[in-house]
Amino acid sequence: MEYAYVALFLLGGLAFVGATLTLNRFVTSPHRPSASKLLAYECGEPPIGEAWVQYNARYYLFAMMFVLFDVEAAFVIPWAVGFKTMSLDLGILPLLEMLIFLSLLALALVYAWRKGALEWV
Amino acid sequence: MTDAVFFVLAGVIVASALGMVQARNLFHAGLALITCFLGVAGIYVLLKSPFIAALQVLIYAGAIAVILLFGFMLTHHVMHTDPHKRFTQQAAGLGAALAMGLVLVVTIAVSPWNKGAQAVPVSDLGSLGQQLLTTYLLPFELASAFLLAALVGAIMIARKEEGPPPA
Repeated sequence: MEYAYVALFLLGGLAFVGATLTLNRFVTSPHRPSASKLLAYECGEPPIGEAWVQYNARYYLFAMMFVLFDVEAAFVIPWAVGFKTMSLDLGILPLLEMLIFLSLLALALVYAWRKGALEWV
Repeated sequence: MTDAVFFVLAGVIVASALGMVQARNLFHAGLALITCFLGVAGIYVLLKSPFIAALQVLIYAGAIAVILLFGFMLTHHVMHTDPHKRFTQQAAGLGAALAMGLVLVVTIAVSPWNKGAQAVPVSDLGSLGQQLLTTYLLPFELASAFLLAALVGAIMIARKEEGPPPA
């Protein structure tokens, strides 16, 4: 069962977080909250408004870029695994087909780059 | 052992799904949905389909969750609306849930379940890749064209909104 390590890792992570938070209760000073203590810390400045605001639409671009290359990876992995046997059967075709796929996505990256979408203004 | 793992995973899935439906805060609902996706990935591992499990994490818990959470954060005032409040929305939700449940029940009922004791076919990643490049070549190449279109659209939206400075 090679996934036992995954389960072990998961349990270890949960135990670590739980132990740290529990230990925190005992080590730190008594729990006496007040309005100014519960204020969000922003480098000493009093925070303006709240955190649940509408974020700039520019962030959507970064989400989309992530999705693009996330899905690309999902397609490339089975291709890479079967590449050797495919090449024996089909010659250079698998390579060309993947190059078409990747060049379209590279075009997306080039477009984003040229439009200055990767720049933070 | 497998049974125990299954019940733990099933518990996580059902609990997080209930948490998602019950959450008053849309963002918390999204986080519960990610937990649900991860539990389903565990079920795929139990079914000896590690690639499907990896895709579940990569695409569902990764890409779809990111789009969903960004959608919440980018939409005006959506964080302050209580999704349970309006009656029309409740009715629409109930209708969608009933329709989905009907589809699932009918699918489970009519599917020819293989109850024999023959070996489960091992998932072969290489042959999956081969089929992608032969039988399903057109959808495969179209996928990259769709992704290109999606990114161009995202750039258009981000460029158009040249209003307040980034938060």
